[in-house]
Amino acid sequence: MRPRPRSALAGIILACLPGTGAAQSGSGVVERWLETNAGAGKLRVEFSQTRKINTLKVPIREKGVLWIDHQADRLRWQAGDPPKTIVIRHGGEILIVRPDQKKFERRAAGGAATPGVAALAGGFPRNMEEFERKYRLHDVKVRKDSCRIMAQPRGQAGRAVRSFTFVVGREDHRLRAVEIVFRDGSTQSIAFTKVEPGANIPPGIFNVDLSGYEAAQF
Amino acid sequence: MTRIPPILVVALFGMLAVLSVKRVRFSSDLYELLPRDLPEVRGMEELNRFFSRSGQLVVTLKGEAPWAVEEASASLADHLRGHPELVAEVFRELSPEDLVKRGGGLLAWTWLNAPPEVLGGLEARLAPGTSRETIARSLATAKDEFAAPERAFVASYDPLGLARLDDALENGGAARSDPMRSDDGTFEVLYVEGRGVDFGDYRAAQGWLRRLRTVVADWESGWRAAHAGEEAVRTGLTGTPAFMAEVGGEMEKDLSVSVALTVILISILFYVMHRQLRPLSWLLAAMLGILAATLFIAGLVYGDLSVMSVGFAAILMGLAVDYGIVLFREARETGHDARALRRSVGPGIFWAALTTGTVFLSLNFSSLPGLAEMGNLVAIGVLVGALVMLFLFAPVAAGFARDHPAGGGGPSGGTGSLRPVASPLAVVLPLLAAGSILLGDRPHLEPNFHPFRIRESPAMQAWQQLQAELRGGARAIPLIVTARTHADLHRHLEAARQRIGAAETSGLLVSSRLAVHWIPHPAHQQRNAAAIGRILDHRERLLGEVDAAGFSAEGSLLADEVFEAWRRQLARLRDHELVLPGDGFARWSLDRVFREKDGLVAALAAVTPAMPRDRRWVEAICSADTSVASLGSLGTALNERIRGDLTRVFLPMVGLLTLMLAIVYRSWKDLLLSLLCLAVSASILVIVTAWTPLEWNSFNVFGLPILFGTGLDFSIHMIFALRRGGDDRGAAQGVMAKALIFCGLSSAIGFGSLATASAHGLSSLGIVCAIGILVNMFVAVGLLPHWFRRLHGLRD
Repeated sequence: MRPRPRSALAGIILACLPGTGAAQSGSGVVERWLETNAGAGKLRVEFSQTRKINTLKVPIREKGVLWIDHQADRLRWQAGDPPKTIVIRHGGEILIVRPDQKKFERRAAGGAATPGVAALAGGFPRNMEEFERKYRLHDVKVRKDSCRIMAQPRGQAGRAVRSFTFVVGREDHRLRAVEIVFRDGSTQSIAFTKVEPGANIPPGIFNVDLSGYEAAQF
Repeated sequence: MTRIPPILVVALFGMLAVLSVKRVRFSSDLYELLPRDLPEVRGMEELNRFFSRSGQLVVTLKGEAPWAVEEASASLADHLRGHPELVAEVFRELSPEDLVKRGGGLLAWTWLNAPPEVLGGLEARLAPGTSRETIARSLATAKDEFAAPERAFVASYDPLGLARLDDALENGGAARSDPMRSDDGTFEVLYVEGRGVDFGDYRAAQGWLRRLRTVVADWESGWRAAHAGEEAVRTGLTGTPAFMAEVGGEMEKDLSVSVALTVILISILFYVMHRQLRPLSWLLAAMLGILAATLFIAGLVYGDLSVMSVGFAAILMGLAVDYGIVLFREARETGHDARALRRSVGPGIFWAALTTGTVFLSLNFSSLPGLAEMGNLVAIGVLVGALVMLFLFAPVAAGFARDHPAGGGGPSGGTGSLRPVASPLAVVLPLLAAGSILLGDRPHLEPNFHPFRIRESPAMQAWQQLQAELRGGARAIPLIVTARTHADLHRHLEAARQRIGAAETSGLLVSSRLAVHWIPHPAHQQRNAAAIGRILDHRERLLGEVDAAGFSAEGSLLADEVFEAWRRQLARLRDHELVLPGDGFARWSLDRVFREKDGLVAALAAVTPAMPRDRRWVEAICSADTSVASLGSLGTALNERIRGDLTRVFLPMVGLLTLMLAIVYRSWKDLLLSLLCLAVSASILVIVTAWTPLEWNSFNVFGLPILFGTGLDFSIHMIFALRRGGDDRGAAQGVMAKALIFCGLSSAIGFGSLATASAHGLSSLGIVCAIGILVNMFVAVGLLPHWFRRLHGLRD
């Protein structure tokens, strides 16, 4: 990757500071984080999401679970308990299911959704080439116990987004959270409360019985 | 002979010519140069009259990252607003925040103007009992992470669903038919309303644009310093002021460059052939005087000069100089005084000017008014030129000849080396031309040619980028419907809608956008007033429900603004038949699809034809009140017209001139020789156009009558010289050859200097005519004498 001048400068300054090394440079942090994704063939993640919308008085909070099977290129995302929304991605298609409404929709992956969900549904990048294809790296800030990778989704996904930050652990470089600030000042943060690499994914988790459901456009 | 130093005379006439050029006003209205009865031309004229704002500049921004382009666009808009001496207002794609703050007035007016049954749907949504459901649905959409982001965003700011217009209303909206941001967000446009100058004057527009360009450049360098690499953006300027400034500036340049080039090259040619400086200075003074006089007359007759007619000056100078040369040579050969000179060569010059003028006047039969205007100017100029040379230059030529009697010099006109090939060429060249037509591409008119398009135009490049980025591959074409009253306009729109529907069914059109519901409708507004009043009665209840559902104060802003705008509009409607949006943004948005001017009302829509160049779709949807501004089909229409012109004008002209030649020569052999000259010249042109990139188009094809005229002229002169020569035929041929070489070269220089013209049509006409005249000259000087001797059984 060709780091942006500001990132390169930040890397040099960081390298000169006590307690930081070359490994903490912008691209170094991203590479280490990507390596943690590369090794995980199967993954189960519990997350907690908070959306603050300017026009609503109360923030929207939800908890959910994410299963990823990289080998099979499949993913299941669900929010709420019992789940209010289930999203299953298989290859280039995603299926959105609303069990309480008995409705579903099939659409192309990468289509309309909030950038946070789009990032989750699209799966996290596992190498630099994929990262650069999906995101433009702006800056990397190293904090006490975390590194903040500030990026911008490329293409349509980046339109309403002011900033898109991956928060990774400073030591283990595992993804801790995603924080998104929208153009109007609204925010969305997804904290990964529990990450299980190599998790045992229950059979049939990527299949949903749609009997009695009707197709809809959400 | 006058004792005034020649250099002073040249300087004086040069200044006169420069002043004349500076006095000329150039018109940049290109549609005036095209046949007005074509719906495409009418469409361009109406689009320009009703919807083009002379002071509205379009600034384009292109970058890599959508967010960077958006930020840059906002930053540039603010920067431009910081120059109120140049900029009245800047409009850009509304962000949802802007839409909430500035879009309320427009939204309120759209509902007021909507069909009553559509407004009834909104009233039902906001009625007690159902309004909570509407608000709850908005809340659910705002929270839904899988709803389209824009829909979720709008729902979060629009709990009452006021922005949820029916499809019918949305379809006609300016924002959808005229987007300001590309789908991927990497391209955006700003509309800049200029102020401070009269934008109808292209020189004022040039000055304004220069200052604005500096402002944009300042911003760009600041942005570049702060945002490197992928965050960089590039700007472009287009729109009416940019086009006007560019076209006007280019025309001035074309006129000056072509005249200067012609004067310089003809001077060099004269010196090479005659080795005399003094008569050259007088000749130059005469040419500049002719130019000044003709420009003065042109100003009186036409007022403005068009992009095409600027080419007349160079052509004129190339032609007028010939009369001076004839007088000069005659004076040196005979030693005549001015009166005797006028007696001996005056009739010839007069008839030559009349013939040339007639050939150029024949361009009036062309369907292109622009070409006709140029022809008229050359014709006027040629007559002025003949008079100036006969009455002002002749005394100078006579005086000079008296002081410097003829002593030969200059190259001889001998062409003996062509003798062995002259006769075979008479057969081979037509055969080669026929073969080229059969083997190569049959000569045809370039289908995509737009004669008045300016070459290397930054404004055009920015415009083309705008078309590609905002309208993608689909070529949406503006459609303009006009009427005298609002009611008539709605009737015409309905009729157009039916014709467009039929054209879509038959596959001629791919899609259409008709702004029917955005056109002010007095009857709808009067009927809707009561319903709007009823909704306003529930204002406090509705806002209370929005608050109770969990929306913040920011979430009620849009509803508040719409209610407030309705209150104002209803108050105004009590005294008026019709209400138009009052605030800047709403009015500007409406102006993009509806305008009222000169006692007419006009609506703008868009259609996308399946095959833009096929004119069947134009014929299917256009009428006396409906036209399209389609450049694609205009090219086809022009080519159709030109083909008609050629058969209607050119063929009778050939017949008439053949008859005249028969009368003049009274010899079938000489008639045959003249026709052979034309056939061989035409063959060479066919070969050149078949095997080189040179192509015929709807403009340069009118070089054919000009070339036909000069070709005949050259052959007549040479045949008469050969007849006149008697025993001294060789000497007569040599003298005439030298005269024709000078005339051919000077005319070719005049036409050739137009190759640098910025308008495609003028440039291509100049090239074709320059090549054609050189070919005519070669045939008349190099081949004709040998054919003459062979046909008349004379020794070479």
